[in-house]
Amino acid sequence: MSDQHLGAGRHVWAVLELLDRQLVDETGRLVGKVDDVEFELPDDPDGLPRVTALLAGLGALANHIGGDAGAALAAAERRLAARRDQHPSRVDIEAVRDIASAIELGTDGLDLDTNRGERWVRDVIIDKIPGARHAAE
Amino acid sequence: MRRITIALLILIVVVALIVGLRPMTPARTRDDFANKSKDTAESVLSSVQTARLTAGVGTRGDAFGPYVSVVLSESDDAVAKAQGSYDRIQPPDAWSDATRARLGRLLDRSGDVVSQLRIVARRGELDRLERLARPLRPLAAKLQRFIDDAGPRP
Amino acid sequence: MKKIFGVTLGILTAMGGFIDIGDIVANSATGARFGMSLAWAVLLGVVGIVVYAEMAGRVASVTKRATFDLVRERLGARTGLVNLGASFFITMLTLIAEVAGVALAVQLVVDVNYLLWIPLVGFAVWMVIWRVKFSTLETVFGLMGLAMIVVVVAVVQLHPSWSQLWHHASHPSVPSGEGHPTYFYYAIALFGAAMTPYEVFFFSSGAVEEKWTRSDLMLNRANVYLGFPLGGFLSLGLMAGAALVFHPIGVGVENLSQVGLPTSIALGKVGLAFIIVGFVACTFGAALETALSCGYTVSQYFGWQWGKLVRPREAARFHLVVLVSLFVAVVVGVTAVDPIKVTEYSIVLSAAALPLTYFPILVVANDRTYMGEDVNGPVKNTIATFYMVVLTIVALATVPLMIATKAGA
Repeated sequence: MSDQHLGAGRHVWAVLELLDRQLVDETGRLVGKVDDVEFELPDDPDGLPRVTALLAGLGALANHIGGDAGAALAAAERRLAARRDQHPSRVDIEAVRDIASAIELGTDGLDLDTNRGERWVRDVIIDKIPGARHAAE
Repeated sequence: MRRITIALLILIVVVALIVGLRPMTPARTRDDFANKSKDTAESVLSSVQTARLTAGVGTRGDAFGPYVSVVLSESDDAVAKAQGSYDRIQPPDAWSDATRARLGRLLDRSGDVVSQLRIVARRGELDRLERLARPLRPLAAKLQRFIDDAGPRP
Repeated sequence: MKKIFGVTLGILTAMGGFIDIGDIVANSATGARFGMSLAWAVLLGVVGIVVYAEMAGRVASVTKRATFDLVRERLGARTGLVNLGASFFITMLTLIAEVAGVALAVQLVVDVNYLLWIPLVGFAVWMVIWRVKFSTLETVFGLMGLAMIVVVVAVVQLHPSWSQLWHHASHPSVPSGEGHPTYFYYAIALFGAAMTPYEVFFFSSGAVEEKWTRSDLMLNRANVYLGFPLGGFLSLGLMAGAALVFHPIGVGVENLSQVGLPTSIALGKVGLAFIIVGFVACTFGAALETALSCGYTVSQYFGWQWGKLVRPREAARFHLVVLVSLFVAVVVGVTAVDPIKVTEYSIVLSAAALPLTYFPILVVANDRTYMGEDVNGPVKNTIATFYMVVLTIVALATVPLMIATKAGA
């Protein structure tokens, strides 16, 4: 974790350090794991790939795991996806504020695509049960 | 390769479940029948002794009515189940017939007494239990003798 | 003064919360069948859980991350998923057993068929998880579980020959008429009952729920080093009671109701009342922990917000998993599947899956990037590594032994 530079520019991180890490939003809320990483190859053939976004969500996870399990997850994701397009939820690398024990984002987690599922379960099921807004224990 | 691994794992789990559930298969040999007889005797001995102990605590006032009822009901169910399974096994030869007859008498008698205890307990007449359970003592001894006669597991 | 109270409370809670339906059934059944000759297996299991729970608690206090949270990070998504599948399945089995266990215990008081209690129990467990504060839930049921102390009192009251008891415990041997495979099968069951995976998931998640920090490490150690062994002592009490009353006369423990007999014989109605309270408290407490652990494992793998430390609506998927798990447990329980058999399977399969749970803990506890100064010392590592070897041997031996002994017939 020592060779990162943060800020406006995009830099190279070891992919291993990013994958499967916990994502935390600016309010401290847990908003998923890094299921896959999007990077682009630079024009310069000697240059290193640049990470452009972190991908989270069942679709990305399915991609990452691959094999039979991955196919099953992908099928689940397709069935659950509200939208027909198959973009996994994407967190632009700009949104990353810090990398500590978890990857901290500078945005509010609920705005992120990754939490479609969370919002749906909350609205459709949990909020209907009395006491859902009860104070934190 | 992974498919094979998964299939193998499922196979292991299924086999484990099947042997765990232990359905009674027919006895093909005399030894086999002797083992099953011994197993049945041990199971019924356990229920008989449990019933004896429970009758004792019930009459002495060391346990509540509902508790006594539950233990005796479960003992009764266990004897009935053991007897039912045993009855369905085909004895392979004449020697086994004799074994079956001998154990069968013990099972019948045990079942009768334990059922009686259950009924009485359900009615709340706990003070009668210990006296009614007296035949269980010699029955237990006979069952133990049966088990000992069957000898160690080959 | 307040600190001492807090520490004592923690120890007592850990002690009372140690036992669940698996321990109750395994220890009693083993005492009935093998006398005290498998006491060593309980001790082995207790030391194991003490070592690893301390590590899991330390990891959670320092990294603020729970065990399963770190499983994926350290093992990768694919292995983590396999781990999740196995852990969730076993925890689910345990939940079914615990919910049925509560129902069986209640039946001992009100002689109404336990099947009718199961849905009520499931609902009650969910209600408590939904509404009751985490620390309250842990403390109340932990302390109520101390009622199980009565089994030790009962053993004393039975006036055993202590030298004989000690002799059998310290000179383990396979009783005549029993085979070695069955002996070791029961040993594995006891070991699995003491080290069931959900215990660490719950313990480490609980440490995060209660916001433990480095300064709580001493408290963590006290709870674990004192509370758990005392809980293990209660397990041995169950074993001894069965050894004294059941073993000599050929009784085999097949039902929860039988477990109360030695206490009833020794201490009468009062003793029986205590042990039934103990049954209810231990199984209900364990049902709470297992249901929460179902939620913890799934949520922590996927990175969802989890825990009672936020409002339910802010951990929606977590609470959904808990709810669905309880629902499934009730549905399965109501099919009248034999709860004692389910219990047996849950502890034996737990034993088979122990390395999955404990290996990641050992890895993280040694990782300086997570733990900084608080990594394992050499002594702890030696013991923990020894246990990892034991766990692996146990895991490999479980299914073959299960087949060979026809599940302990």
